[in-house]
Amino acid sequence: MINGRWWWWFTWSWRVVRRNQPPPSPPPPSAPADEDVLPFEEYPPPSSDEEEEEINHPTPQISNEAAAAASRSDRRAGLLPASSKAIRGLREVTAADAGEDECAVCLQDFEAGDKLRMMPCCHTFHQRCIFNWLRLSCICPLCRHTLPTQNVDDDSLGRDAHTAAGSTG
Amino acid sequence: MAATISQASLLLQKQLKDLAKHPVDGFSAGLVDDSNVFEWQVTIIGPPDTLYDGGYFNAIMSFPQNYPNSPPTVRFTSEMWHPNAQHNIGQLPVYPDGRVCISILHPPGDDPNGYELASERWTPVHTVESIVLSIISMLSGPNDESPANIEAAKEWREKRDDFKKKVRRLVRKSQEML
Repeated sequence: MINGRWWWWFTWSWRVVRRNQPPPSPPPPSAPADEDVLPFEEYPPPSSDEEEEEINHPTPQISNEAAAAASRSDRRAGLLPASSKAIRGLREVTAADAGEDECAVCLQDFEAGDKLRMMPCCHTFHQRCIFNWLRLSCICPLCRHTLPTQNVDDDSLGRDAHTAAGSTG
Repeated sequence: MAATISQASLLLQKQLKDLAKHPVDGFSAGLVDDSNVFEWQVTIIGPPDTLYDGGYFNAIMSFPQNYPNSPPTVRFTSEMWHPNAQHNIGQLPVYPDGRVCISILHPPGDDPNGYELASERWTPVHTVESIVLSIISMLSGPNDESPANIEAAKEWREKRDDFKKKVRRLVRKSQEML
């Protein structure tokens, strides 16, 4: 019987081991063309390129334990936007694959032909609804599952979320 | 931007229609002005078996143009006196202007108190109904261990009779205003 603390330690050390190996490619099950992903004309303000993302989510200048811890707790609290990579990587599904009948954000029924995206926790939303939200906060609107954020996408915290996604999804 | 606004008003109109069709016990809700779906007037009925029992408390909910990605502000227009917090709702100071400050109403990126848990914060699945139910639940559960409105909490702790008297007076007043 492995208790939670040991399980956490185990997954953490596994991540450290993996981190020292060639970078694993993040798993975007569908890698759609960028224009297809974000109908940015609907987002204020439009920003489709990574450069602008960098401006929105500057990498912290001080990289020490405290900053990492603060960033980790901010991410848990949903104070940071999800990274554009994580947003783009969400699985595209059809209404038939969705676990729910309606989008919990706009309260409209899913219709055949709607563009839907599934979070790693399996909650499904309209693409437009969930993308708009994830650009403000990295948490699932329904269960608060956390996606990687721009600041932490390339470090262990980012992997943390990827692994968590795999284990719960 | 236009798309976002119409998305917000569609969602609010849907909630208005649903609440008219299926009213929820404990409160009534409608628009302040029929031409503006972003401004709601709600009347919260004091929860039974609490100090607020029998009271009718009016509040205004103002929704931002980018609802549901940002929360509304909620402001009591009726006088309100409440000590504090409820375990999973967070702090509820009722400010002198009647504004309600509970953590589910804090937008992403904003943590005025610096200690809120993810489980208490705003997400875009909150509706008029779920917000009002959170406020009702907060009215039902004063907890003097994590005071937010220090003055009210102190009175709740040390001069319970005064506290009760004050709330009873507010309840009576709210009934006379009907």
